[in-house]
Amino acid sequence: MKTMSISMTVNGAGVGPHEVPEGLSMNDYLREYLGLTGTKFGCGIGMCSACVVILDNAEGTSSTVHTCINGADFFAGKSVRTVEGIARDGRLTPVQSAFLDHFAFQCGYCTPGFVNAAQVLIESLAREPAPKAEVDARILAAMDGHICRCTGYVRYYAALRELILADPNLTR
Amino acid sequence: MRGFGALQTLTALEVMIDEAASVLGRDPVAFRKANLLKTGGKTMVGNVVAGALRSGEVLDRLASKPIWTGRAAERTRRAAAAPNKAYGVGLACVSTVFGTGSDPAFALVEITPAGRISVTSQAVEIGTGVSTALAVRVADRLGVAADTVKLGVLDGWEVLGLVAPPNPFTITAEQQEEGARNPRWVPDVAQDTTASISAHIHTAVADEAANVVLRFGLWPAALAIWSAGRFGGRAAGEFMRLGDARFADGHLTAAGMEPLPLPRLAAKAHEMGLVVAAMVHGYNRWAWAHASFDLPDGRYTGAIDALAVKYGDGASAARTALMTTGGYHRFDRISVTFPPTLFERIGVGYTSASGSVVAVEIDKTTGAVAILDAVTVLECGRALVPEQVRGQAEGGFAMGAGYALHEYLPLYEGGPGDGTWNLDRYRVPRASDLPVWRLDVDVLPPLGPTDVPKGIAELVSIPVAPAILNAIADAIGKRFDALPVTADKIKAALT
Repeated sequence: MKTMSISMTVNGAGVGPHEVPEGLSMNDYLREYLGLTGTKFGCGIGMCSACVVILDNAEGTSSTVHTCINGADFFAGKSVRTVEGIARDGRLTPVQSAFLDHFAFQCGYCTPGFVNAAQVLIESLAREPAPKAEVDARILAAMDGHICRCTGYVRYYAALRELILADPNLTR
Repeated sequence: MRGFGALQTLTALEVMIDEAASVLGRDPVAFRKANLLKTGGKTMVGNVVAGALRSGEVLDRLASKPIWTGRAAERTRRAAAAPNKAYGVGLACVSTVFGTGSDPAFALVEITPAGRISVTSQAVEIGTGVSTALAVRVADRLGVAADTVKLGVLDGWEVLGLVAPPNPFTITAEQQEEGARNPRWVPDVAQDTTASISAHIHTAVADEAANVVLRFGLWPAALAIWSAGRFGGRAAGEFMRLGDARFADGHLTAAGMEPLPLPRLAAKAHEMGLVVAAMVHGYNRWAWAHASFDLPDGRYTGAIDALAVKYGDGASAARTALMTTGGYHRFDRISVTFPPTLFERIGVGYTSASGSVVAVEIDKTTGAVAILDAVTVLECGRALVPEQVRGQAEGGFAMGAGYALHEYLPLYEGGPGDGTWNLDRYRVPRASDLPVWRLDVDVLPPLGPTDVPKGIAELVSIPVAPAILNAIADAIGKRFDALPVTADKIKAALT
């Protein structure tokens, strides 16, 4: 079996180098090699977005990336945040608190993906606030790729709308 | 996934009822109200359903919503504004069963000397929130919600030493009477987490266990504190009844006695060697088994068929010596009444009702259906955790919408059994397919303060699909008898 050497930054700390099978998915790398099982495997074909992690770019922007259809080598040398790295020193972020306060999730399987995508949305609004009238559309654009079977999405979306509209730094 | 059997039949039934009303020129709500099974009415197999039937109230509430009352005016307004679209509003109302007809459950409630409450259950948490419901339910008896809830616990119940026949659905009356003579015999020992029974069955049994701890632990501890001192202390002036006990802000009070917090009561109960833990088993066959047990401090009669208790850390040597079964004092029931075996023939003993009104807009060119607005009304007796009840209705709405418009699995060859199906082929609703910002979930208030929680998690997905189908019929005058009703099918029907 051919192998490849992988190292990257995950949740602020360097990991690796690990010698892994060539073609190993990022999802398997996180879960099997790093023991970070907060990132879930859903459909495996990039449709449900339960598996996304945050990719932090050098210029200060971030995006979510599927880990089921992208190899660990795609992330090699890059900086990644998983759901385990969202809270700091045990303190939940506003997104996490909002989801809890609103009873936004039920089984929790899609939740890490929702948390990561919502975190990216909040951070992008902090950099460039949106008009209040566009908030609903911005939430839908950021989150519609995330499938949930339990909740019907209502409380996830309501939590984000309330969070964004309550923070004067995120809207104009 | 939800209400299988009922989902299919009630979808068909509500579409047919709607069509009949239309053909007869009758108002859809009035037509349904004229044909309702009313409280005390008998089902097809001849039994009366438990409690009050509230479908009429659900219908009245649905009919009062602006989405319904304003539908004609809205259709006119939209027809002028967007003639290439067809607007329609549809209504459906159903009642369906919760429970299986043989529902046993265990519960263990314990309090520590510091007043921490722990509830242990066999119920499995998959995200429905039964953990929270269990924690909240025991507050009725203990003043505050549980601190710890342990779910899916299979071990430890052997303390009760229960035995049961192989098939709980075919026991004869004679077999049940014979079995009842054995204090360890129950019609059924354990049950899956299923049939929307978590709130109604599992929390009820936890409530019984908490009630034992209140009656034989916290209450006598409170009496001891209040009557301390000469001549019965400050409690002497009033006649004290357990029935008058109330919790105010988590503090136990009765008849004007100073409210006592749980840590103080728990410490006293442990010190006095009173009951600080109760393990119970309950059985429901469309009615609760009930039994009496003689504890050292009095008789307990409740909706349980097995009981074991633990006494506090300060229990006397004599009392400690009673705890001979796995650390518990296990009782033989002195009498028991199991639900009649003829209840095995009942299809349904418990029901709850829900209805939906859905507004759709159909693109006449593409056949695409947009769900613009929706309301779901339901009654669930007492909602232990209202956010979780509404969350079930919200998730159920999505499932009903998927069932009506998107989800398709062909039978036999080429179907999902061949391993090639995934979310790219099986289309489940996304947020953009649903009225996520506008879905109104309206839960009727309970009839009274002692309403029990009723099962609703499956119910709430069922009226959604027929409401959508009836809305499509209202919009374009076509009725469909096969699901899903895709854009292609609508487009074909319009040409």
